[in-house]
Amino acid sequence: MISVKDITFGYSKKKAPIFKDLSLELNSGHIYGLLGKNGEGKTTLMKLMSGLRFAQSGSIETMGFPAPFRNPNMLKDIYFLSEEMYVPAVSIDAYIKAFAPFYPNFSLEKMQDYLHQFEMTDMAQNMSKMSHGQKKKVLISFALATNTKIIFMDEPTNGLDIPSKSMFRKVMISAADDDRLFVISTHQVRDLYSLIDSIIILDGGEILLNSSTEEITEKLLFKVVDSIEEAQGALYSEDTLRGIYSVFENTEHLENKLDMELLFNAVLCEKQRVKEIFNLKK
Amino acid sequence: MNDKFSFQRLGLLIRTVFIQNWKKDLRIFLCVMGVLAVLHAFNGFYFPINFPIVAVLLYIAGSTFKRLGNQPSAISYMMMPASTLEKTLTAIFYVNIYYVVLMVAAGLLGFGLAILLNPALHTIGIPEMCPAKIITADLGTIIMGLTAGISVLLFGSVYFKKFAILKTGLVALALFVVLTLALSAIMNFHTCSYHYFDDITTKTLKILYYVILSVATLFFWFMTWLRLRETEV
Repeated sequence: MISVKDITFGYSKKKAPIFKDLSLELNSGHIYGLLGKNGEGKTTLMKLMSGLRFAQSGSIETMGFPAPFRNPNMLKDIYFLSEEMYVPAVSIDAYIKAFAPFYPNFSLEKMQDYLHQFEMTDMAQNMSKMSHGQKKKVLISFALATNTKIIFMDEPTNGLDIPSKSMFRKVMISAADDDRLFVISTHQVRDLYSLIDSIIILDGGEILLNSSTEEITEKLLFKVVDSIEEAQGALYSEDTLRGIYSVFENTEHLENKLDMELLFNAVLCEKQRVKEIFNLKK
Repeated sequence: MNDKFSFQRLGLLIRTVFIQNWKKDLRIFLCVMGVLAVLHAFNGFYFPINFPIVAVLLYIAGSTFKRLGNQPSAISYMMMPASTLEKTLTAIFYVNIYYVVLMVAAGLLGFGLAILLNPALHTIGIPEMCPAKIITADLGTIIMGLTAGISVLLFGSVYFKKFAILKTGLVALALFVVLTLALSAIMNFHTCSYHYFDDITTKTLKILYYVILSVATLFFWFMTWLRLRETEV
């Protein structure tokens, strides 16, 4: 669905590019978690894929359309939910009336259902007078109700209260299907743990990891050990009150549960080793 | 549906902009009407009535793409499923037709309101200042000049995004000065050029005026489209 080939991109010619010869393929039927430290280019990559930014070299095709051309037939199947939101000073009803017709597959029923689940029942409420969290709930509902094939979400759970985060996970699961692709850029991996089925980690302008959660738990072992000796050989370890959380290479292919934060730290600490584990054994 | 242009999408875009802005437009309308009513009422129609309307129209044109300077708003706008041509035509429609009609209506109603505020006005030189005179005046010249000015500011609003009106004004002023100096230098250099201009009639000058402004308007509309196409967020 999205094909990124050898792109190079930087904001300034005087500084090193953010991406150099970066390639990536994203397929439908997945919810990708895009992880990386601050300033690594997660939002920029999503903007490049949606045509909001243009790479200096290389090509990006989104649903068969060159992304930079911003073809309306491509745009009607993409929704970009940015971290900072724009809401006009209109009611939810008026917002739907204004923007929904651009998305041929928009479902009013689904919109109302998602709003109901988020406990946003007053359709006449002015969106500009809502709290940050309320605006987010409305826009998340709208994004999912458009039924677009691709949805980019930049920190979607920022500003949501705890019950709403749980509700977000529920509505996302109900909205996801084999024809849709979600790309979620986030630092709040715990919020989205049960949603994400593929993880992309960016660092230093390159992709350190691009694998499904299944493949990750096949190749890596996340477990708690009691002593430093047991943690020897781990890619990464972290002292906690419950013990030493560690990430090992899963040589015995034991079943285990993925910890995204540990994974992220392990990948950043042992970049070369992780690359070897995931590349050589493919 | 056609990639480049669709009447349906254009209609949707125009409608979307209207839904988002009609309350603000109503406030502008009432404000302009009120201001003009007061100015007419207490200046006895000696105030140049076009000025506030032209000023508002130029300001609106210069702020058309202001939203591109705010990232969330720019993302929302650029990701709207419409072509760059449709977005440009929507902007041109609003600044050249919708707001002009709105402001002229505000001007006429302000005029009427002024008579209500100051009944003595109807005895003071109405034939000189009434709308009928404006309509029979050289309306084409006014409209052409306004359209060209609006097109420059529209392009400026997409090119500069922030402080667009000020920057566009400064650039236009600089260009005007340079062109005036260049023209003066050329005319001074060629002594025979003075006699050449003796033969140019008012009618020819007017045709030249229309042609130059039409070309300039189309040029700036095209540049607006091009710049919008190249806009990154």
